[in-house]
Amino acid sequence: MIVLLLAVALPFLAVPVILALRRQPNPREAASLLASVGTFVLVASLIPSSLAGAPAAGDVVAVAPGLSIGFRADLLGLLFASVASLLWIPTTVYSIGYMRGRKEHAQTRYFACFASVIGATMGVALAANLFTLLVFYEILTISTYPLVAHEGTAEAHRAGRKYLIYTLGGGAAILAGLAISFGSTGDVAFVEGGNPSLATLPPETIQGIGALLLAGFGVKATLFPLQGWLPSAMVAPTPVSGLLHAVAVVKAGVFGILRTVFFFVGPGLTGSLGLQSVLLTLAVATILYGSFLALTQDNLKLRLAYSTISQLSYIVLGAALLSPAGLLGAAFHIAAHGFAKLSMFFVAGSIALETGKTRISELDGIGRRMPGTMVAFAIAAVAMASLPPMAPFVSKWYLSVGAWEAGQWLPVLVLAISSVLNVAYFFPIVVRAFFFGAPGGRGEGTRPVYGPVLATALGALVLGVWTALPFGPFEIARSLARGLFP
Amino acid sequence: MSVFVPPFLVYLLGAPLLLLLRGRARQVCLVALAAVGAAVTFLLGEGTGWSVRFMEYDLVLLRVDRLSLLMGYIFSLITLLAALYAAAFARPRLHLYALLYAGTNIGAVFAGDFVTLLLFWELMAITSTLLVWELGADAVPAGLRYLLFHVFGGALLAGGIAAHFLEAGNLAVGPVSGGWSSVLIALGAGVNVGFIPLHTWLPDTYPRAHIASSVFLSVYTTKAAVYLFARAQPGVEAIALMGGVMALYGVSFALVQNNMRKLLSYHIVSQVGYMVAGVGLGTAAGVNGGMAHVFNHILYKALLFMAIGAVIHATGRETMDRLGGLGRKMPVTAATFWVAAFAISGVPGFNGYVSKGMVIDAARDLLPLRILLEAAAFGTFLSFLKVGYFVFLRPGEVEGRDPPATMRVAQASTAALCVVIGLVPSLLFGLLPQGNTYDPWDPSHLLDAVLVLAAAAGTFLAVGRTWLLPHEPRVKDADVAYLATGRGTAAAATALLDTSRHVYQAFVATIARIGHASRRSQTGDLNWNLVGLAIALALIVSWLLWEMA
Repeated sequence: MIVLLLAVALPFLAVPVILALRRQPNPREAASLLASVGTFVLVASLIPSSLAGAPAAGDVVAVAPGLSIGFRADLLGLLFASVASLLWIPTTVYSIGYMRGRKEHAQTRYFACFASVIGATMGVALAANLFTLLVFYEILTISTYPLVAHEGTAEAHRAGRKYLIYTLGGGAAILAGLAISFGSTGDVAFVEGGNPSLATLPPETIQGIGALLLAGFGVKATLFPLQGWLPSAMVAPTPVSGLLHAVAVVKAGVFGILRTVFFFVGPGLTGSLGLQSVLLTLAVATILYGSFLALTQDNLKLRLAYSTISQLSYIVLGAALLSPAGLLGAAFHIAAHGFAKLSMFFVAGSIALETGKTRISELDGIGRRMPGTMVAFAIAAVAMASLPPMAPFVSKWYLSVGAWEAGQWLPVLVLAISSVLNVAYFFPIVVRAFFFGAPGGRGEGTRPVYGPVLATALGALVLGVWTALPFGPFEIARSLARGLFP
Repeated sequence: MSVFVPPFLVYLLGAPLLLLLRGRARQVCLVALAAVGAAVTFLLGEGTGWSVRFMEYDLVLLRVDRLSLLMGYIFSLITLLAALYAAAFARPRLHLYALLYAGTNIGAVFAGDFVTLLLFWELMAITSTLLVWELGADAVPAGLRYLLFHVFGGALLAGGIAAHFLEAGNLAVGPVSGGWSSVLIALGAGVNVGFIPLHTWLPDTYPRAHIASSVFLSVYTTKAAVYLFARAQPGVEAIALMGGVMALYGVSFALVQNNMRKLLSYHIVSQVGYMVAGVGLGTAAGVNGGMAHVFNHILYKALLFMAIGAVIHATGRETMDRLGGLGRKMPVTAATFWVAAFAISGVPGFNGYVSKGMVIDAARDLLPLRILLEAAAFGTFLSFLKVGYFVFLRPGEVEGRDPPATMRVAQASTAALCVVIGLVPSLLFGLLPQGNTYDPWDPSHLLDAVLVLAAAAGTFLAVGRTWLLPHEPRVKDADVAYLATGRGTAAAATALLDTSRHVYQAFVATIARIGHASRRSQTGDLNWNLVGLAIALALIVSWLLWEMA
């Protein structure tokens, strides 16, 4: 219980420390690093007991009867929390190199907000009920805003405003759903297979609650047509774009959808009340929409953003299939996509740092200048195409099996088309980097920047090959799926 | 003495060594690795094993039976011969990618379960793309198009295997019967095998790679797909007929080509059509014929690419319109070319005659297929007379010399195998999956072949030297459709982006307009505000009263 609370609290405790150390950059960064390592260790330590069927749990404070801030380290929560906290470590290292390399302003604010975001993510992941999740979900939104608008330019402010309008709007929808369900049943806890008290409500009410929650979470999950905030948010510094918008913030959205479908409304009601077909349709639409629009973007980070929009709906698709393999694929993809996409964002930032270039049309020959970096990008591109030996191959396999389990053929076709589109918009970058253009000097980027590039790409490879990694995301996803579909 | 080690390990683990060596040492290492791989394969004993846990399944990395041994023998043998050929070029990455590619294919044919096969299938796509790209320049965009096709095919195959897994409850490589699984696996394998119109990647890519790469490329991917059909879907008449279509379509496009390797590439489509036809017929004779043709085709097709590659290497020219007179200047190449040309055309005494005859014989009950295959045979000999005449026989001034020693040895050895198997076909019959009842020396089969060959020869002598004069072909293949699709997709994407922007901006503008409009209701006039307040109160009170009633 202490470990559980500390896992959520530690990043928040780092915030005042970081603020206090604002005049001493090295100790300040050390605080971030210590907090990131510590958080991951705490989260990881909770995994064995959860796999054994005895998840740590505890309430912190009861705000009202039936409405409490409480945490529970169940399998889905630990999967998300462990991935986010683990990836915070290389992101912190990367941030040091990146922010100092660009001599960025307001670094204290940056690192402090970052820590707060991670803390909020832990809160979302480990929340035992919808109320706790919403509280931390909103903290997540607020903490991210200064990071999105970090540059302080007019464009950054516009992006930040757009981000707030979208995400606070989504939060309002979740609040409405929470209010209706709490008002009707007085019980908003997450329960494996769905909260039973919800089932006592009339079907229209459940549909309303489900629609509000799914729409609310759908904003952060960049579900069509609510994805518009993500491309604009690419104006943020690259490590922000990477971890927050490829790993933490957006994954909080899909995580919320997973919680709603499997732990609140429940798969049975999601299917019988028509929410499944809506979710499936939107997921398929988003997968295709994101990939098509990625083709049109010359700005590298924007292309990555649209790819993220598409890939996130792999997870929503898996959830919407309401089948064991679908859930396994969806949950595993949280990890698989996270590592690979973060690596790509790191590469984008590294290139911008070394050469000042942000447009793909300028990147001819960059592979000869930064070969290691571009090889990492290449293997991450292999991952985006869901090819072995990278981790998303495993996700794609289980999503396909899950589709057939649900009697659906369209997802299989859509996944095939999406794989081809991913090749179509990522591989020309690789190809132009290595085969075209003239080399001009060598420079991979400083070690704090280059190391995380390689580490995250390697992580995606390891996860794809060593599925039997003890306490790894595959084992957690598998136990999760088995537990929910005995 | 027998071994039980998956041969793919030799290639995949050994290939990176090539990057650590230089010069002669690397050449030796390349050939040595291929030799070890072949030795391991030829020493394999039958059985199943090498289980590895991946995802939730126990994969079977090694399944040795007659069918997989046949594939393993020919794959490892041709790897050795192609390695000898490629050793002449100081291109370390070519050697690396070629061995990796060979290894993934050998892994696929010895796979004991569908997930292992799928893994190797996708790795085949990656390694062959790298092999194509190795040359740079023109090969780069072609390799990208190639990758698009193969990723799509692989994804369909994955979907089909997933469906089959659910239906069958296990992953063992075997016959597939469900609705979706059959269709998706057929389409996925169909991309690799070159079903019309999924074949365009083949003539697009193979001519553009390095000449040594083309030798490797020509032998694996399509034949691994034939193997998959033999395991998963033998005996499907639609597939057999598609084989016939491939045979005739391929040879028709080949006949009008000017670029020599593009001509050979279309012949791959055509010859693979024979294999697909044989397997599609599903009878013992059909499957035997199809698999025998796999074996023989690999030998003579690799030899064709070797010989033509030697011509390109010596002259610097890829097209026939500016060649000629090389028969005397490059005697070894010319001789090995003619051996391969006779083999592919089915001239008695060469290996192709045996297996082509087996397939055509197996098709005797399916007349449309029989006609397609015979017509394709006619076109095959005709087009190789064209190549042979315009490159080697007719007078020409272009300079050329026979290639270096390793390449000559590779060519000669492959040619020798084509002749030996042609004269002693029982060597091959012993390897076939089913017991063989076909007698290649039966007079009816001989007559059949001789008639077709004579017709083709006569046609060439009469009109071939003028009608088939090499020039840039005016016909376009299905590439046109794919390029249009690509351009259409890009255009649709841009349109989608613009529409999205307009919708979003319209939405924002509407909200802003509502906001502006509602501002006007703030008159600041106390009287109007009181009126509004009174109306609102009246509405609320009446609603409350109505609710209470």
